[in-house]
Amino acid sequence: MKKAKKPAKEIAIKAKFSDASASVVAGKQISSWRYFLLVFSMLAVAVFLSYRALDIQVLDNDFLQNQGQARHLRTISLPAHRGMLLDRNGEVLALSSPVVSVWANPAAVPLEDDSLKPLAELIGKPLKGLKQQISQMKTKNKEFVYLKRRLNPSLEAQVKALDIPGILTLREFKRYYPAAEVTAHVVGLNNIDEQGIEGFELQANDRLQGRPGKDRVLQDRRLVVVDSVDLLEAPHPGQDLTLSIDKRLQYIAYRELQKVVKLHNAKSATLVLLDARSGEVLALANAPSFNPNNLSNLDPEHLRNRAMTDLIEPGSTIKPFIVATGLETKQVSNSMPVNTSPGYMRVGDATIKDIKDFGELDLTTILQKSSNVGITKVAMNIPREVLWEKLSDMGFGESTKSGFPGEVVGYLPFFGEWNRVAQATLSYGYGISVTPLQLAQAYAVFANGGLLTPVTLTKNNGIVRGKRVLSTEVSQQVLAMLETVVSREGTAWQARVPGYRVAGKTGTVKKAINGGYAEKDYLALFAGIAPASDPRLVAVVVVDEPSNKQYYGGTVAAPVFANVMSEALRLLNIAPDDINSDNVRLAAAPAIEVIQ
Amino acid sequence: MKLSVRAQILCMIILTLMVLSSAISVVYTKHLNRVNFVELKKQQAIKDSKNIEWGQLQLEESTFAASSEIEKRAKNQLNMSQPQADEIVMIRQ
Repeated sequence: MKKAKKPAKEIAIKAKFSDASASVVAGKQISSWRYFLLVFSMLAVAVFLSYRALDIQVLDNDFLQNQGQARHLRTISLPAHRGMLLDRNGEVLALSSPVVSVWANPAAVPLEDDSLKPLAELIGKPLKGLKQQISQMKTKNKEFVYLKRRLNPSLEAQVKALDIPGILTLREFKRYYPAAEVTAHVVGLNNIDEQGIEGFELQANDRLQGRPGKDRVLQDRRLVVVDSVDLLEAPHPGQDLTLSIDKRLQYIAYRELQKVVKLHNAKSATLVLLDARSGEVLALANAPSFNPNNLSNLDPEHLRNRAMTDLIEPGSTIKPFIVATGLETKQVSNSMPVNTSPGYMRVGDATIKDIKDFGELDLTTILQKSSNVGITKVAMNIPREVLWEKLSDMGFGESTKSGFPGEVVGYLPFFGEWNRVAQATLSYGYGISVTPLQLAQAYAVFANGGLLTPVTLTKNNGIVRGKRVLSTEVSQQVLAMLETVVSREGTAWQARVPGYRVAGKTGTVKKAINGGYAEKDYLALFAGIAPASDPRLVAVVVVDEPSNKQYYGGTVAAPVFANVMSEALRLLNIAPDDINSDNVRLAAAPAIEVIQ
Repeated sequence: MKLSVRAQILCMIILTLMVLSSAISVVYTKHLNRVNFVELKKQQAIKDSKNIEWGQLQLEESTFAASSEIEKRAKNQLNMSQPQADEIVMIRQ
């Protein structure tokens, strides 16, 4: 064909040079229709080719460029790590560290030979199971299957070095909790996808969470990134968050709670330690706890942060608030004698009992001896709406506004629903409920000269706005009364801290069970303030169902308070204010010459 | 205005050379870009691994500095104990 065409072309060119319309050259005759057909088709091909060239190069060049780029342009995700949780001194409580996950594209993995064997050894999975998993996903047409998640990042290079087709690695983050069970309830938990599901991890999830970025990159044929084309979105790492918790105090609290649970065979124990001035929670611990690093044998019961989610009846620990209300509204005065003989009284159809006949008491000794009869007589002198209003002011039945997930609001029935019996039982802490955290907040009012401060679990650098709920005089008066409780004559001698003046109140509460009160199940409570001369710390201890004979707040909960408080005061460098008592030895400061 | 043939040819040569050198410098810049990008990636990988190391050191530190660990060592290895109230002497300033 080609050979046949060539002479024709020559002929055509020659024809052009001679005479355009000539059809006779060198004596040979070519019919004119064949000549025109030839010229026409050649022109048509030329036009088509030049159009196509134009089309590809200019008009439709996007298509080809996209096709080209599709073969080596990729959008990759830039990981952003989750913020840390720190304690008030910058110690790490929760940290995200990179780990490596191995995944497979089942269709590309060779399953017939033994090439998976080294991988199986590396990630610690049986070869048979591994093959089975991949082939199962292959039949389901899956393109992505995790083989093993969260491995040590050093394995990444080793897996890559094996170079098995279809086996790839992925960078992920794993959350570590160095303080483990000690801070577990405050810090909380994340799920496997790094989303908070408990505690602070949940509350501050939006802040802690990082936003991964996106980058468009050029890859060469070995899938190595050679150029960044376009940073679509810069990665935003999560913000760190500083909690108000002091890790050292938290540890001491947890250790003491563990001891008391063991010693008294209790169901659980809870402690809240507040900075009285700033309202910051310095320690908030529960025992038993759980290890957030290893949830394999987790008892869901241990997840509960009892300090904020358990409602308890405050029992005798509410008595100082009744006294404060009486003093504040001038319904009673400290010099007023109250006759508690014969150690019991009837209100409506209820009998209110003391442990013994205390005879004539005043407000101070009512608190010191924790007399139910005495406090009932005080409460009955206060109009119920006044009592309700003042208790509400001091935070009872209100939220602490800590914003912690799952925190429950205490319960204070509206005064319109009170009858005489309700008012009487309320005065010694039944028919009203609080969380341990809320009780601590209320006690901080006495420590703070009558100001109610919001409690917070994040560090607030001492910037707080308290609300005045008691006058300074009344608050100091009650504080002085509470100091007499921690004496040989009071109920909480075991709450004393050598070197410091301590104020506080015990409580022993019968636990409410469906429709009544348990005969033998108790809560032992202690709420205290130290140092009494210039209050800095407030603590509440609750021991649930101590069942080794002792169950009084003064013998079970008060020693926990004393142990934690003595170490907390020392660690926080708070000066002793009781240096003249018998159990403190004093020496004069050595003369300067001696030092030199 | 009209240029002489020589001037036109000269112009042509200069423009051609300029186009050529521009083309070569484009290629060269592109190459430099790639080289620097590879370097950037390398440095990012280093930063990454340092970050990993930092995190692990942080964890290690807090494991060793855990209050329970310190307490155990102080008690068992160093025979230390918490001073009792009667062992404390306060100094008056």
